[in-house]
Amino acid sequence: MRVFFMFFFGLCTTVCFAQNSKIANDEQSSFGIFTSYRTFVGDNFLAKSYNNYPTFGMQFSLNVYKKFNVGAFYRYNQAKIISTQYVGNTQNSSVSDFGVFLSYSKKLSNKWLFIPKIGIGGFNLKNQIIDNRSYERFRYYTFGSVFFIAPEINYFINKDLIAFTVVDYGFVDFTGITASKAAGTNYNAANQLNFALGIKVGF
Amino acid sequence: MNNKILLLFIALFFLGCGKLQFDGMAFLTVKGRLTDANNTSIPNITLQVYNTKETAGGFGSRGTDEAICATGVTDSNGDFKINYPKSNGDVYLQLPYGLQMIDSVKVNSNYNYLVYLQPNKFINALIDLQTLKISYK
Repeated sequence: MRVFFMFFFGLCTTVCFAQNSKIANDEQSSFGIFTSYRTFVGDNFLAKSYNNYPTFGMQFSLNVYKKFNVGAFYRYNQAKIISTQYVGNTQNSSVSDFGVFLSYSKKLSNKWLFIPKIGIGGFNLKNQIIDNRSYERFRYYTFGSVFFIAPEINYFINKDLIAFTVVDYGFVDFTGITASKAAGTNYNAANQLNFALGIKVGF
Repeated sequence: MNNKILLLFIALFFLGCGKLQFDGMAFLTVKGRLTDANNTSIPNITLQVYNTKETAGGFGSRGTDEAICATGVTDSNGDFKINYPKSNGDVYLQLPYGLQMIDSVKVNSNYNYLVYLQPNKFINALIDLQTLKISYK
């Protein structure tokens, strides 16, 4: 057991500190996972109906030209209902979005990168009504498009291992939704904010 | 070829069809006011939007899908407004147990706690029932 811990400690210190002298690489591809907190803001049916649990997601970024990358991401979270006034008696909801982005890497120092991103994606809200008598589940889905900007900060733990944080603002377009103006809120657009922390591997 | 058609027919027969479904891309609104026979507003009454659809099951059996898809409460003026997802079933506004509609135009006499929300009465996803007179049974 002692040997195992010594080996593990040695591995960790090697991974974390062995290449501290290397500088951040602003021309590399990466794959990462992250957790984030998503919240909806403004006068819209999402902001009035849901509180969100933490989001989990992944992203892939491919270096295509000098400091420019293209990438893809996927995020998912359960959503807690705070009001059924606008979306029906849903008892179990979740939100996911996925999309592509274009980013540019700007080196701030030997270990820090600033990566502004712009992207587009799809948005999927799942709701579920459960009949109280039969317990049958009826699911219904709301789809939209997301347009977002996302400034990201990267910290190079070592040459290949990168911690990152990102705050992204997304405009969610729901022009496909039919709803009455008398409903008392906006069903055709929403705004979302995501605060994410994650780790990625560069290659 | 005939065998494929026969298999398809059998599969459909066993699977059944026509289940109640909701549309997350269409939300409807029902609004109105509850009063008693003397036109006095009735606050704090919980109303439900009830969906029902006859379904065809396997072996020719029939069933009914039902779901309460939304609820709302009348305010101090007796006014209510309920938003709910559109469904492919028949949709009714339902009074709580112990109350009945006394407006003969809007109610089916066999089910006087229900008001049918006729699809052709919606204008821009809104149906205004105006005043509904109710009484205790």
